[in-house]
Parts: sequence; C-alpha cells; structure tokens
Amino acid sequence: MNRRHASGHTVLELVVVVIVLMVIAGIVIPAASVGDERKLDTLQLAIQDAMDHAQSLSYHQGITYGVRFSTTGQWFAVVDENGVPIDDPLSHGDYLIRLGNPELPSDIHVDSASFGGRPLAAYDGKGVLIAGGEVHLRAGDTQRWLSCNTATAELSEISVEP
Amino acid sequence: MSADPRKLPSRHPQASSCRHQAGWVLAATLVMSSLAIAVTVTYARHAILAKKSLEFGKGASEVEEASRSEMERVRDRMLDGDPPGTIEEGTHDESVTPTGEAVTGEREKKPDQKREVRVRATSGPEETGEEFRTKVRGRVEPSSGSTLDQTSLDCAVGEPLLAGNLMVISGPTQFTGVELSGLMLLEEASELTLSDCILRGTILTRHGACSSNPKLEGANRPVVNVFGGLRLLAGTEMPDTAMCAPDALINFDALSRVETRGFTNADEIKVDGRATMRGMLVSGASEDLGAKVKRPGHGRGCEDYPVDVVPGAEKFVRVAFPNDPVTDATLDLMATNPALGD
Repeated sequence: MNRRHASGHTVLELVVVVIVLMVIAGIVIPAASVGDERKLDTLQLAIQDAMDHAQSLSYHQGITYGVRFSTTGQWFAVVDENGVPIDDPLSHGDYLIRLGNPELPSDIHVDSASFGGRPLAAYDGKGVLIAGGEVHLRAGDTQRWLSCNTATAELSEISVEP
Repeated sequence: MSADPRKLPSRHPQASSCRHQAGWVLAATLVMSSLAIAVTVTYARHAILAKKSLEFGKGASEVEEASRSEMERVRDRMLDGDPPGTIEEGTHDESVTPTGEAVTGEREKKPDQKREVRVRATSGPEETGEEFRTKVRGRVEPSSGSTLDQTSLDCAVGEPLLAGNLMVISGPTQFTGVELSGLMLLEEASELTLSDCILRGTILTRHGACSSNPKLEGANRPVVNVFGGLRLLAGTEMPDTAMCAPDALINFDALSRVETRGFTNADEIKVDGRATMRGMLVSGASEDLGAKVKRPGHGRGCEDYPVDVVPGAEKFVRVAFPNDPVTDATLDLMATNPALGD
C-alpha cells in the first residue's frame, strides 16, 4: 500500500499537470502561428522607414530620392537621383537592407514591387510620391499585399483574392 | 507492557498522502494563479484599448466628436452660402451619424452682424434613460460677402481668383477673443492683430495668392501680430494652407501660445512664445524661432507660393506648388543603376 503511494500519482496531480500543459499549449501554439505575421510586420515597417527617409530627404533637399527594390537579390535600398545608395544615418554604411541580414527575421521575401512599372518608389523635390504601387511580401506560407498611393505615401495592407 | 512500535497506528491514516500532495497542489495553485492573472490582465488591457471612446484620444467621446463634426458641417454650409436656420423656423440642419448620434445644428443671426452657431449631439439608449448631451456654441464673424458678393483677386496667370468667404484687411485691424473662418487677405501695409483667436482658414496676401502680383517690400509689407493664444488651422478654402503670405511679417509675442496646422509661409517669422507649428514652415528673409517652439514635423522647404490656384465657383478647389518634373530617364537610372547589382 505504501509503495503504491510512493511511486504513483494521484488523479488530482495528473489533472493539474494536464491543465497546466493545456494552458501553456494554448499560449504557445497561437503565438507560433502568428510568427509569420510578425515577421511581415517587421519587414513592412523596415520598408516604410526607408520610404519615409527618402521622402524626408526629398523635402529637405528639394531633389529626388527613392527606394529601389530587388526581387532577385532580395534587398531594398534608399537611392539618390543617380541610383546610388545613400548613407544610412544609423549604421553609417549604405542604406541597403538585405533580407538575409541576421538583424531581420529569417525566411522573409519581397516577391514583387512595382511603382508605375518600376521597382522604385521615388519622391520628387517636394517629397511627393511620383507613382503609387504595390509590394508583395512573403514569410513562410504567409503572404501580404501592400498598396501605396501618391496622396499618403503610406504602405497599407490590401486583400487579394486567391 | 509496551506496544509494539511497528504496530502503532498513525494518528491520521492518510496524513502521509496529504502531505505528499500538498506540495503539488501548492505549486499547481501558484502556476495556475499566475497564468490566470496574466491572461486576465492581458485581455483586460486589450479590451480597454479597444474601447471605442478612447480612439479619439484625449478622452473625447463619440458624442463630442459628433458635435464637433456637426459644427464643421454648419460652418461649411455657411461658407457655401447655404446656412441652416433655427429649430423654431424648422430650417435647422440635422443628421444621424454612422455611430448613432443624433445631431442638430442651428445658425441664428444676432445683432451686430454676429452669427450664433448652436450644435447639439445626443446619444444613448433612450429606454434606459441614459442620455448624453453636448452643446457647443460659437460666434462667427461675417466675411466680406455671400455668394452674391464675391471678391475678386486679380491674377495675370490663369483665371481671376474668386473667394466667397474672404475678409479684406486694410490698415490696422484687431480681433480679440473671436473665432474666425475663411480667407483673410492682407492688403499693402495692413496690420492684423490677433489676441486669443481661432482662425479656421488661410491668411493670404495678393502675392501669395498669385505670384504675378507684385511682392510687397519693406514698410509696405503686411504685419501679423499675435498676443495671447492663437490657433491658425487650415480650412477648406485652401486645403492644408494656414498662411500663404510670402511678403508678410509674422510677429508672435513672447507670451503667446500658438498652434498652426498647415503650410505656413511668410517673408519674416518671429516666434518668441510657446508654439507648435505642424506642417511645412517657409520663410523668406529671416526666421527667428524661440527655444519653446516645436518645429514642423515635415521639415522645411524652399521658398514657395502657389502658382496654380484653380478657382471653384466660390472657393479654391486646388492649390498647386511649382515643381520640377522628374524625367523618365532619371527614374530609369535610379531603378536600374548597375552599381547596386541585382
């Protein structure tokens, strides 16, 4: 009798453990499923930052700047009117963001980017986006379509029928 | 005769089992409590943040928002020359917002050429007797004329500008403690003094409205003096333009509290007091902003003024600024420069 008590578990113990595991699973599993969305949020924010920076430079200097996308090389960069990447005020290197960069989430992609037919979101000397466009992002199996118009120059998510 | 200790009964036969379980139960209770608290706090926080009444910021409720919106609507109707009347006359403005607030707006003529605008917004389930009300009153100074008495601004470029709600400022003019709306045209050597005022509209000079008009120089420049508080908010006549007066002088007193929203342009800008200036700020000759001035959020631009103002029937419908077009060759170079590879 004593040996049974020493080596086994009561029903109450098992119930508590099962409940705890269920609660933990309930928290962890949804978090894992929205992980790709978080990655896309980060990527969208990085692109918007680059576009805002290009717009700000256009405002201040009265000349054209833009954000160029490469879907084959998987990078985007803030470029001047000659297509040369500008200095990143934070890293003091080129403002060139490669998606394989360890500072960015893994497995994120820019599948397409088109602003008036070019992979370039360019601002004129008044900081106005010259042509609106769309950017298609992907993280794992999760995709996101972003649209940007000339009035706001803000990336906003749009729904696309499969 | 002593009892065999091996046969001594436990005082509580299940005590050992209970003690064994007590640790588990305590640990499980702590874990469950922590999780329950974390989940409750997280969801409560989300629920509070999702509450609609907080979306407006600063604690404004939907009813308050509706009343403000109705006030704007009444003013817009007044600008269009179609002002509402009063409830007694049955010519008031009324509507129901998408969120269910019933709003009414009245405009009544008062002595001294003043107009009183009254707005009321009501919401809440009536069966419970819970009702929220806000009531806003404001006075609007009349402008130079209605749609039948438009003021024309000469412009050698394009069509003459017509403004149905335009106040011409000639010589020294002072406003104290009033809310103004529409366009204010500063004439040569005029001096506009504003004390504790709100202007929903645009301060203009003839040169600012049309670059073909001569730019005023020196002592002929119009002057805007501000004392106390001033809110200069771009109106609907010239969207996003609070002040377009590239040949005027703005002088804010050291004790003034100023808020501007929209493009602000003047030849000379002196701001000593506290000020928040949102939108592009452009000065010509000089700019002197005090340490307590929050700079424009959108940076600065070169000296500019509209060159292409398209007049509508009663108000400006578009304001355009000069801009050098970007050529396709430049865009192609930016998009394909091989220096970056692919």
